[in-house]
Amino acid sequence: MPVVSVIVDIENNSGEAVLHSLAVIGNVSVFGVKDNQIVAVIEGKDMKAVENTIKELYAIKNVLGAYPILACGYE
Amino acid sequence: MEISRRQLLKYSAAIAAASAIGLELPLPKELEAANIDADKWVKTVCRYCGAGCGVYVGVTKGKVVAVKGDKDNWNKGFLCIKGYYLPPILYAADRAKYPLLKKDGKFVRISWKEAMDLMTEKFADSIKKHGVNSVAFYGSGQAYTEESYVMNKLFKGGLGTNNIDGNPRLCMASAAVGYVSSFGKDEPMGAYDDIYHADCFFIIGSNMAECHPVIFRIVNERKQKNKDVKIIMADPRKTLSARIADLHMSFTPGTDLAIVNAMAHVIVKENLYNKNFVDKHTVFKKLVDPGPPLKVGKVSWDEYVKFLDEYTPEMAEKISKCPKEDIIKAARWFAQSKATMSLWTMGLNQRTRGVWANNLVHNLHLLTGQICRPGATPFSLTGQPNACGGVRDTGLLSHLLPYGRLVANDKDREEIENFWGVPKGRIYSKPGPTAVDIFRMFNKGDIKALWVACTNPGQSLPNLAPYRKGMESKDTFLVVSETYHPTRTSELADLVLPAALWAEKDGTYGQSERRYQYLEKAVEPPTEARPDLDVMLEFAHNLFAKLGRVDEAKKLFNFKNSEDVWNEIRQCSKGTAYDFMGMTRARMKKAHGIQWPAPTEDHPGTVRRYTAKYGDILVKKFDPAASDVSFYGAKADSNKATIWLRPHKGPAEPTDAEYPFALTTGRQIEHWHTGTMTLKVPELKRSAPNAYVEINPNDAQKLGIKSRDKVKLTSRRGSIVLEAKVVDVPREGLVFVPMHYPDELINNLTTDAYDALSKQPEFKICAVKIEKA
Repeated sequence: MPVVSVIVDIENNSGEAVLHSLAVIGNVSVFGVKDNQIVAVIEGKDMKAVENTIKELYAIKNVLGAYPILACGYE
Repeated sequence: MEISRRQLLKYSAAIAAASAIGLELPLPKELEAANIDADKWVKTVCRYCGAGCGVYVGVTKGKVVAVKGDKDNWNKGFLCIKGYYLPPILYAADRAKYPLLKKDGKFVRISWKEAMDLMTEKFADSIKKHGVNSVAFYGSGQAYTEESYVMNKLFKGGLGTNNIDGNPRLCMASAAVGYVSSFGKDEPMGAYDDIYHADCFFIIGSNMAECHPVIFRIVNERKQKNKDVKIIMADPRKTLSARIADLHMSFTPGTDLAIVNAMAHVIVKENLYNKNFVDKHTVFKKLVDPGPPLKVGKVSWDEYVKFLDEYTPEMAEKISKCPKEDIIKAARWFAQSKATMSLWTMGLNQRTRGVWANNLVHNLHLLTGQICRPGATPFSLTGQPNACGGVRDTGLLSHLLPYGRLVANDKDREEIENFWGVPKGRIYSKPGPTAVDIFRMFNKGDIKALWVACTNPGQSLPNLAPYRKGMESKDTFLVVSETYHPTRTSELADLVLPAALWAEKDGTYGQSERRYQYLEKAVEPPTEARPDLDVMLEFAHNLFAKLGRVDEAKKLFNFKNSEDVWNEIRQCSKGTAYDFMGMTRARMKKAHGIQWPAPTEDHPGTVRRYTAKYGDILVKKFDPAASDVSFYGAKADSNKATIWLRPHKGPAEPTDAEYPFALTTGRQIEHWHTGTMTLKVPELKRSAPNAYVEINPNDAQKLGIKSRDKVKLTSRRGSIVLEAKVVDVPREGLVFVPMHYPDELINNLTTDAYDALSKQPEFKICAVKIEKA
């Protein structure tokens, strides 16, 4: 079961709205926020699921990018 | 508290991400000293683009099982989607495992000894019967520096032929010639650090969001944190990158020379130029005779102003369809910002006027003094991980010698002949054939034996079909060193040599900002795959033995490993404008990259060149009288940079009634180059499995085309059937096709017309027609 951390870049003053959107995605945990960047971790049953979640992140309003930082357990 | 393995993984992953942005996360005690998912982490560099992101690969039981960004490197731990999927490229099912020889149209396994004997015999026979110019090498901006250096030494210094070039000719040559012709020496003077200081970005011909995502992230961060920062995006496509632009300048493909000249016109007419900088640091030149021989002449400021007179914003709008108001606004932002940084890639380089386009961007910086201080710099982004360090700097291209020297320059040849210890006159004074011409000569049989390493010209050359036919000829001998087989090149080879991949060998990469980085070996290559450097050295010794020059080979190629080669390379740079004598292998192993010049071991590296004030100690060496800025590469012009008079000229193949659309090609975020690596990653392939053609909605409506319809694109050279993607990205009259897909060879349509100065082909524009398939 892969675990992937991502930095989600967001537009100014949109933190609350984006965090709200992230909260309703089941397999995403938020660990912290700094400036316009959110530290989140995606869990998926496989990498396809992770990949779909990253696509979901891009679709959230005010999200400018989602950058994977560390991926574990995807052998 | 008991921490499950899953929680441990989550925390560890989150901490890695948090540390990348300087955020401290509370860490459960149980997690301290936890080392997830790997027995060891090995420091290296991403295999893909020229950004050169620092990477650690996690190794367990001899296998790469994880990857994370290097937070102490310039990328601060960030990776793009491709970087994070690096490990699977090592374990693809189609890794080339054994030497293969084509017999009766089929590949059969042979031993390494048989392969090396055959290859040596073919090259030696050709040299004996037809001379040294009957053999050639085609290298790569992905090869390690040590590999390219050895092959350059073998061909130019050992054999005395300049029949050696590489795929950076297809992507970087115009940028390289642009820097040389404007500043005297190649390579950017600035760095990624400038992004943190720029107040205006002029991004032209670059889809950074998809092609250089981690660099784009910094631009985005700069913009988000500083509301006054302006981003100008000049591109006929409204790409992902344009999402953060304050001004998107859309224009008819191939008309940007008129636009940039018009920006200069506005800057001069509105007195926005920096007279002091212009007077002190620039000269003006124009082309007098395209030759050969090419003749240029110096002109005055008044002549330059007169030249610009015709490039009014109105005139540029007429040519380009870019609104004059946008041109005026861009010129003012560019000139009036505290610091302006230009960024570009193939939109400028892959053009028949690529060098001129590069010169014109440099002109804007020189006119306004937006150069050689933090945030103010013209910065060419690089496409491959070692095009700069391994090819441009080592001089692998057919007109170059190492570290800024030229084969056509008597003094440069003599210096390198002395350094290599070869007889005077060994290095041939005439530049050799460039990428496209090597394959033209191979087609004609003028080149009898060709070695292609670490690149895929059977897919990546423009106007591909005739060159593929030539590569397949039975009258010539093609050797391909490859990590995978079959590729669209290895399938055409007579002999395939299995190559070790990134992480399976050690060496050096040099990326866009003059940062050299050591790549440590992490794991063993599979089966019989070998590092190219080992094969190249063995071949050099074998070939010289066959030519009766055993002793010379012992002297020229007395290298036991890549460190030996690196040490000679450092010596070769000593005293030049590139001087990196201080980059010892021991130091490189610890460092997270060092930017040249770095002449001594205690030198920290140079972030900004040509400015003494901001740390370039070579200014004092080469131009002792300079108080700060000195373009010391331009010695013949008294260390002054050149502002060029470059008129607008359109593409080699403009659209017309028969072929009414312009075709441009490029990358997608998921894939890289010819897809030999990224298309092996299931997740990336699923995300972007096939080529398609982007069509503007208005054009699609006129043609009765909907998304997912099959359409046929035809140029004067070939046709292709693709799925349509109707999307408001390309402007009307323009279509876009990604270049990555081996089963959909878009380069059968592109033109092999090339820039007269850089010899870089015009991949970015050719004329096509579209019809429903």
